[in-house]
Order: sequence, then structure tokens, then C-alpha cells
Amino acid sequence: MSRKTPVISFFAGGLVLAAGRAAWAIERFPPPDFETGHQLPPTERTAGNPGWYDALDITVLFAALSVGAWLVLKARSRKGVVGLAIACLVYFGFWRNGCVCAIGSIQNVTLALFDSGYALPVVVGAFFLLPIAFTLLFGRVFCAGVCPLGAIQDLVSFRALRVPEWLEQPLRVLPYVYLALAVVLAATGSAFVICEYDPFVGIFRLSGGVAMIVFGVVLLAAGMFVVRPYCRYLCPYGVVLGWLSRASLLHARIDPTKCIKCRLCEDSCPVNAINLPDERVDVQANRRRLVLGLAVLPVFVLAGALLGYGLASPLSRMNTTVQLAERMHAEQAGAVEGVIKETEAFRATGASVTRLYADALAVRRRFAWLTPTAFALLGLMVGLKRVRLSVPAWRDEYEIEASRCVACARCFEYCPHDARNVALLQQLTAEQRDDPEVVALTVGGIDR
Amino acid sequence: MLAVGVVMIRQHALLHATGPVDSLELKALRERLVDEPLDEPLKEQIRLTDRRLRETFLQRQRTLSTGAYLLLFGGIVGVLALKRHAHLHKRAVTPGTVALNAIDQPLQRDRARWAVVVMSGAVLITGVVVIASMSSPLSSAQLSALSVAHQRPIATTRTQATPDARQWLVNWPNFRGPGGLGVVPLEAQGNPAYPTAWDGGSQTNVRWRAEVPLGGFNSPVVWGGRVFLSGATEHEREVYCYNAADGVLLWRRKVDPLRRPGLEEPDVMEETSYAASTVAVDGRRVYAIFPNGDLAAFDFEGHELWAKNLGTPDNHYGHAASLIAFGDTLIVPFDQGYDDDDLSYLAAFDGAKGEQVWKTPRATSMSWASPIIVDTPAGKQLVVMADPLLAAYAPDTGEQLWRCRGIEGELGPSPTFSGGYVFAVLPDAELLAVRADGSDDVTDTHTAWASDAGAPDIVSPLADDERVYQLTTDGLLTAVRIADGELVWEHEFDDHDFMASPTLVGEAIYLFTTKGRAFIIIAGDEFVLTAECDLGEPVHASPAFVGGRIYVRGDRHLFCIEQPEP
Amino acid sequence: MPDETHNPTRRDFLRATVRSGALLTIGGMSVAMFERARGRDWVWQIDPYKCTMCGQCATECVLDPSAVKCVHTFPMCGYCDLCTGYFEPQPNSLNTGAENQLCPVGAIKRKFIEEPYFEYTIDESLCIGCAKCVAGCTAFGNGSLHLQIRRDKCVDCNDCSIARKCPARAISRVPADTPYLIKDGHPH
Repeated sequence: MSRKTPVISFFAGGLVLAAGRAAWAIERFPPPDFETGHQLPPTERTAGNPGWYDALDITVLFAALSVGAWLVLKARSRKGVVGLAIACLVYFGFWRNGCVCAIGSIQNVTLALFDSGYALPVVVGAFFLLPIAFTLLFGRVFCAGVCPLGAIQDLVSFRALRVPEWLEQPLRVLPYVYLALAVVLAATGSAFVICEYDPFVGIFRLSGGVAMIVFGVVLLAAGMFVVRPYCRYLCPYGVVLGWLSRASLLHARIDPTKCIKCRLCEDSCPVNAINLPDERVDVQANRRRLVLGLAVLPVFVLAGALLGYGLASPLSRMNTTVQLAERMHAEQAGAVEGVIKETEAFRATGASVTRLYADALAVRRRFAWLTPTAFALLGLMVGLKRVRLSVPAWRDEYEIEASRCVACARCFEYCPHDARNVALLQQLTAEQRDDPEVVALTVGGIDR
Repeated sequence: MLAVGVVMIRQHALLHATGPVDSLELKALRERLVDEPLDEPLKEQIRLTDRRLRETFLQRQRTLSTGAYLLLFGGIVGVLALKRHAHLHKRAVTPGTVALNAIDQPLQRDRARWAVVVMSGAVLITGVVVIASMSSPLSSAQLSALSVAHQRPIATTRTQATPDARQWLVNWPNFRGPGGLGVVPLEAQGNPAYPTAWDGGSQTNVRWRAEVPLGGFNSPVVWGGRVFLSGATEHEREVYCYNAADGVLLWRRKVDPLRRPGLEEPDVMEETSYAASTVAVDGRRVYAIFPNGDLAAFDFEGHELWAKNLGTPDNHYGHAASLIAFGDTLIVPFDQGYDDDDLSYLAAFDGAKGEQVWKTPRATSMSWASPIIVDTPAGKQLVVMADPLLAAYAPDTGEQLWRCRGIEGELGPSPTFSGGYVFAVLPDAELLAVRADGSDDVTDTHTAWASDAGAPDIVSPLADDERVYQLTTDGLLTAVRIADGELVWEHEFDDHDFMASPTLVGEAIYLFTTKGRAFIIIAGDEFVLTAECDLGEPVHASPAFVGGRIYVRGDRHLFCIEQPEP
Repeated sequence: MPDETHNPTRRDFLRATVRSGALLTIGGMSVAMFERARGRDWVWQIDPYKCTMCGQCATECVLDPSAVKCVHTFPMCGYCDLCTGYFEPQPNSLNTGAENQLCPVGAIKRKFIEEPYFEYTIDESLCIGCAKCVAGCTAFGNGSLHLQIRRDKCVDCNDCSIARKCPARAISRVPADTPYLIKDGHPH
């Protein structure tokens, strides 16, 4: 059994790697028959995370949400919520590397709805639905400390500055825009932008793109003073949970029968979720503004739809098929010089270029109706926000606004009715109890 | 805190001082070694450099990961310290001073409302800027025009059942009909009556006549009420689909696949045309090939399934061998150049996807003969002929079954088959009968006889159960007995030239002259002419016979000839 | 708890309706999801027949070193003495000297089996997935070396950052129960 050794001239000939794709079909050197009976080693297939990890993730999520609900609604314990946040940050963040997460799951759910070829994995579905179900029942306990992104931001905050409403309100428009973009791009199978621009996942993994890690660190630094900037001004999942929590069965509340309007909690909320009593509302003017606001609403919807109509084309360029079709066309038409890796790879497949154009057109058509729809809804939401601001509710009690409250449990510590505060106050003399400054210091100075 | 800062700076510095994998230093050293292959110290230097670089690289990887942990740890400590600091410097809550006053609320709301409007405006303006500056240069209308062949989903090819053996017989799937033998399977077709009289001038018995946009000498093929053919000029290549019932052009599609830059233009003779190869169908798809190596597949609705360029075949008259489908694979004969050029091959492609299923290299020269698929007791054989080989292959694997050497000349006529013999014409020389039950080299063992009577140069031979009929371009028709290779009779058609191959329809043989005149003769032991018709338009392609209708391609039109029942 | 059950307002009723509706929807979605998914999970993998060996797997992965490694299908290998996946295009001589090796991190081990065959194995702890050897083997050899995403390394990002950059669009989600697309000599 003898066989020619491949010759060096092979190289000397300077064979070009031109369109070297068909190469795999060629068996240039027949596999040998070993005289020594040498056994071929197997190609190793290392296993990934075992299947039960999914079940564990879902179980931990469910348990964490349950514990969170109990801590917020029953125990009313800020310390407990902090503990939960640390635990979930360690598990979902650092141990499980921040994937899968509920925020990103929006995209998977969208993709599964629009692409029949993609079946939603159970664990992703659970991460999407469980926090929603808990929000409908108990308010945003997921945001409180179960979400690793919320947890890491909450834990770094130490001196909260109050963001004035005139800044808070417009900034809260941004998550809607982000959500609209994320849904459109996921539904067309173009990109998962929420994952691509997740500022904290690099920190969880201790590796990743430098730019995004720096962005994450900047957000955390800002979060020391402006609590939870990502949750408030970017998080698209927060939009969903915020809306649903308006309809929640239970959530953190101020009991009007017990509230003595001591004003201690007023400034305790870092996310502007405690509404003050407002008795200066002109009901007549309200009615007028409501009619006007609703009349202007179609303008917002129309503006959104028009914007979406225009954005369909630039947004579709985030899709790789469209990118490739554009580039191929430019190369074919001679509008650009030379080829790029992508078109070279495409040419090597021998696939039909008209087919590529057809695929790109199909993607385009999806964008053409999805983008206006999503942006019309965005316009509607912004319009409604404006109507709500025009038509304030008449209120004679302190109220927690469910859609904003992230159930961080900070305010509980400031309430004189909090069991621990009751005990502390009882240790004071009657004289001291009359001094508001002493009461305030006893109940809890600001150390957020 | 300080520690965190130090780690941070160190980390930063390390990130930028990367141990280069594509080291220029190493590259330069290696290039020097190519010039001075015996320089031992240089080798040593490369080894040391390589070792140093790799050590730095691994070191960096380790430092990065420890650095990340240190940084995280520092961050945690820092946050804890800050929190402790805040806790120790508590301020008292002064109710009503820090929080906004209830009196301010209407004003705050007003401002917030306007701020939301301003924000919406900002989003809108950003959007408009994006639209103005980043819209795609390729509009949807352009995309639509570019991909006209694909606009509806390709449902038909997925839902249609695989055609059964009967359908392969009642249709006309490739050049010269089922198997490529030029024999109408009359019984399988249900014994329809084929026309014996027509006249193109008066349109007598011409069911329809349809213009063919681009010319070419390829033959029409027919399947399921659709007639397919192709046409081309030097710069354009197209595939056509006509409705068999009324001749309406259902669709025409351009074949324009991606081609390697700098592809050679094919040499094509006028007598060959830019579309000489007949298209093939498999009941669900139609395939076409052109002399520049363009190969394309469409479904019956005209959606392009795939298209590719195989490279321009080296052929000084122009590639002319026709395609043939076997089940769901397309078989492409690609003989070219000369037998020692190592260029020729026979390949099969997946019909739906266009991926190559098998490819068998052939040491053969260019050939214009088309492949045939014949039924033998041992199974189907794919028979291909090119100088110097007549060879049979297993159509599903491309494995060679047998070969007969000594085939010479510029092979125009395709082989045919009857009674276990493959008949091969050596142009202007002889007719060879080879038994198809051999293996390996059968040159000396399975050649039954050779006849030197009237071998043609272009027109393919035709065989019935007892005789092989040959027709030369200038009109000499000969019948040779299969049993012994003896000449049975011969007849000279004076002043008539022939390019189209003859077809056997039951007992009758249909012959078309280049002027469009048709002769119908009896297949038998003597020459009997039964009818003579005129189409009125030159004919260079072999007609298709399906369901009592004859589809003939003239130089400008496609004709459907049908004789109504009396 | 606020005492509002005895006098439900219109708003409370609305909220209850929305809540029940939403919860029912969630229930429905979960059932539909479990029906359809049946535990089907996805992981990222490279189709080696589409890969163009551009080298970005080494740099685009969120992990450093990348979760992409070179794997070897030994039955496809010709066991060549002059392995074009192992040696520089113009090797000085056919030995393991650094000046001859293609792999920048020295992750390929060359072992003599019998005349004239050598076996090449990948040390995955060193491999960075740069595809230099894959390019060499595919262009001039049998193409038995190819890239795969190692499941024990990959952190299963919801959106693979290499897939985003892959020019050949060779990286896609594959069912988790068949997580590898290891070359077997036949194109898929």
C-alpha cells in the first residue's frame, strides 16, 4: 500500500483561491488505509448546558417573583427587596450571563408570531409571560429586583435626584420608540436590537464589546443619582409592564384610611411614582381639554403612520437580505467598485440573484406595513400621554401611580405606619413626637 | 476606590496593547526566510519571536479575565463604600420642602405637556432626517422589476405530486420525447390519431400558431398542457411557456445568472444558434442551458428556482447537447474541449435547489449529441456519446456501467436504442450497434455490427423493432436491419434538406425538411410515402408529439397541428 | 389594603375586565406555546459548507477567546504529510518549527502515524477560531478542518454577535437536540 505524497509544487503553482467554494466536494487526497491499524479519533461534540437548566431558570424565576410579591405586598420590606435583587443579579445576571431575559424575549415572541419557521422555546415564552402575569396580579415586582438589569441599577443608586416632571415625561416617550423599533426589526427577522444594545450584559459576562460595556458603566454611574435610567427612559418591556400594572389586582398602595398626610414619603420615591393630592383641578376646563385632546389624537396617529411609512425604507436596510440585495445591485450596475466579503460569499453559493431581489422585496413589504402600523400606535400612545397630562384627575389622597412604581419598597420605610417605625416612635417621649424633625430623623433620613 | 482606578487604567492599557495574532513582525521574518531558506539563525529568531508573541497573547488573555473580576470586585466595594457614606451622612426628611408643592402641580403639568409635544417633534424631526439621509437607494419598485420571476410564492412545485412512470410516457419531457428516442409511445398515450394532412398556408389543421420572441434551433417539449422552449441571441437568453390548448404565451423569463467576471464569450455558428439545446422538464420544473454555460430552472408558473453559470464550454460550433431529467435530478452533459483537456463531465443537479448531486469527469472531446435514457433488463441506463466514447452511466449515481471506444468525428446525431442495442452514428462514416448489457470496456465484446450505409452528420437515427432509419442532411434515407446490419432499402429525397430528426408514430415515420415540408412514410421493409404536407415555414428542430397534436417549431413560430376527428 | 371592594367604581370594573382578559390571553398563549414548542430549543451553529473562513469568528464573539473552535472530521482527512491546514503556504521544511506553522497560536498538534501519514488534532484550549487552518485545508486539501461553535463555551446569546457580522450568513439557529453541523463529506 503505497501512495504519493502530495507535492510541494502544489503551492509553487500559486493556485488561486478563486471562488474556492466548490472545494468541499473534492476529495483531493483519499483517506488512508492504515497498515498499523490506526484508529481514527472521533470528532468531539461537547455538550452545552443540560436541558434541566431551562426548568431551573423557570423555577427560579417563578420563585423569585413569588418572593418578590410577598416582600412588597405582605412584608413591605425594602431590605428583603434588596436581598432579592442581589440574589437575582447573581443568578440571572452573573451566573446565567443575562440570557435569556424578559426584555429580550419580546423579540423572540414577535419573531415567533411573524415567522412560522421559528418555534418559541418554552423557557423564552416563560420569561415573557411570567413577569406579565405577576404584574397583572401584584404590580411590577419583576422590575423591583428579579430583573437583573433593574437589580444592578437599583443597587448602585445612593443619592437620588428628583427629575422634574417636565423632563421626566418627555424622556418616558423614548421607551415607546425603542419598543416600536424593536418589534418592527424582530418581526422582519432583521435584528434583535434590544440584545444588541443591552448595556449590562457585557458586565454580567465580564466580556463583550467595549463600547456597550462603557455605555453600561456610564448608565450605572448616572444611576447613582438618577435611579434606574434604563428602566425609566429606555426599557421597552417596562412599557408593557407599566400599562398592564394599571390593571393589576394588587400593587404597592397608600391606604387612604390610614394615611395621615404626614408628607414624609413625598420625596422617598426615586421614580416619581407618588402622586400628591391635587384639589386644584378645574373640572370644566378638564372637560374642554379632553375634547380638544381627543380631537388632536388623530394628528398624532397620522403623524406616526406617516413617519413609519417613510422610515420603512431606511429601517429595512438593517436587514441583511436587503443590505446584500442593495450591494449586489450596486455591484452589478457598476455603481460601486469591487466586491465585499458578503457579495463574494453570495456569489460563491451560486444562488440566483433575482431570487435575492425577491427575498429583499418580501422583507421590504413586511417593513412597508409593519413600520407605519407600529409608528401609528406609537403616535397614539404619545397622544394619549398628552391627553392624560391635560386632564388631571381630581385627587384628595396620596396615591402610588401603578404604571411608574417599580415596587422597590423604599417608600415603606418612611411611613409612620410601618411596623418598625411604629415601634421606634413609641420609644420617643411625647414632646419629641411633636417635633417633626425628630420624627423625620427617627423614621429615616434620606440615604437612598 | 484607588485600587479600582488603578485596575481600570491597567485594564485599559492592556486592551490596547494587544498581542497581535496577525503579527507583522513575524510576517516580515517569514518572508525573509522564503528568500533565504537555509538561514538557521533566522529560523531561530522566528521561533523565539513566535514564542514571545504567543506568551504575551496568553498572558493578556489571563490578565483580561482576572482584570475583569478585579474591576467587578472594585465596583462592588466602591458602591458599598458610597452607600455607607450616604448612610452615615443622613439628612432629615423635611416634609414639603424637597418635594414639589401641591400648588406647583398645574404649572408642572403644563410644562410636562409641552415637553412631551416637543419630544414628539424631536422624534419626528430625527425620523425625517433619517428618511432624508438614509433611505435605500434601491426602491421597492426597482426590486419588484428586478425579481419579476419570483413575485408569487412557489406553491405549485411543493404541492404537486411526484409524476409517475405513466406521466413520463404521455408527455414529451425532453429532446425527441420519452428517453430521447424519437418514438411516440402511442399505446401509453391512448392511441390518439395524429394528423396526416395539414397546410400552413391555408392554416388547414393548424390549431394555433404563436410567435416565438427569440430564435433558436431547440425543440419544443410538452408537459401537462404546457409547451416549453427557449430562445436566445448573442446577448439575451429566454425560456418560454405556451398554453398547449391555444398557444397563448403564458410566460417568458430571462436567464441571467451571476457569472464569473471575465467569462469568455461562446463561439457559436449560425447553423447551431444561441439556443440549440432543448429544454427538459420533469413534471414540475423546466430546465434550460445555453452555449455560455448559463443553466436555469423555473417552476411551471415561471418562478425562477435557481440559475447558475457553469462556465463557457470550449466548443467551436456552440454547445448544443440537450438536457434530460431523471426523477428530480437534471442531467447535464458538458463535453467540451478535447479528450486530453480534462474539461468534459457529466453532472446531475438537484432539480429544486440546483445543488450538484453527482459529477462524473469524462476524457472526451466536445460533442453535440444529446443523452438518452434507455430501459434495459438490468435497469435504466444513461447513454452519452462523445469522441472517443459511447458510454452508459447509472442515472442516479453517475457511475459508468460500460463504454465502447472508437467513436470518432464531430458527433451531431444522438444515439438511439431498440431491442437491447444502442445505435451510434459516426458522422459520414458508419452506424454502430452495441449491446447494452455489458460492463467496463465492451468495445471488443458487445459490438454486434457496423454498417457503412448512409451515415448522417446531423440528423439523429430512429429505430423501430426491426430496422434503424438514418437520414442525411441532403436527403438520403436508409433502413438497416437490426438483426444483421444489412441495408434493407434506401431512398433519395431530391432537392430536400433535413435538420430535424425523424419521429416514429406507430407505423408511420414523420420527416420534416428545412423548408417546412413534411413527408410521412410507412416504417417497413420498403419505402412507402403516404402523405406530403407543407408548413410554409422553415423547420430545423424536431417536433413534439403529444395527445394527437404535433408541436413544431418553425423559424419564427411555434405551430400546433391537430386534425379534427372526421 | 384599601377598602374599596364594597363600592366598585367604573374604573375598578374596567381594570378587572382588562386584567381578566389579559390573564386569559396569557393562559391561551402558554397553552399554544407548549403545544407548538414541545421543548424545542435553539442554539447557534455554523454551517461549515457556507463558511467562507473570513476570520471574524475570532473577533466578533462576546467571549475572548471565541466560543468558535476548529474541529476535525478525521474520516475526511487525507493525513497528508504536507498538510495545507498546518503548514505555511511556503513552508521552509515539513517539520513542527514555528517558522512553518500556519496556526498563530500553535493549537494544531502534528503526530506521525505511519509512512507517509500524519494526524492533526486541535488543542481547543488554545484555538481562537481564526479559521486560518480551515482556509488552507479547504482550498488545497480535503476540507476536513472546519469551524463549529462549541456548546460548552457558547453562552447562548439570544442574538449571536458573530451571526450579525457573518458575511456568508452561515450562522443560524439550529435545534438544541442536534446542536452540531459537523462536516461529513456531503453538503446539506
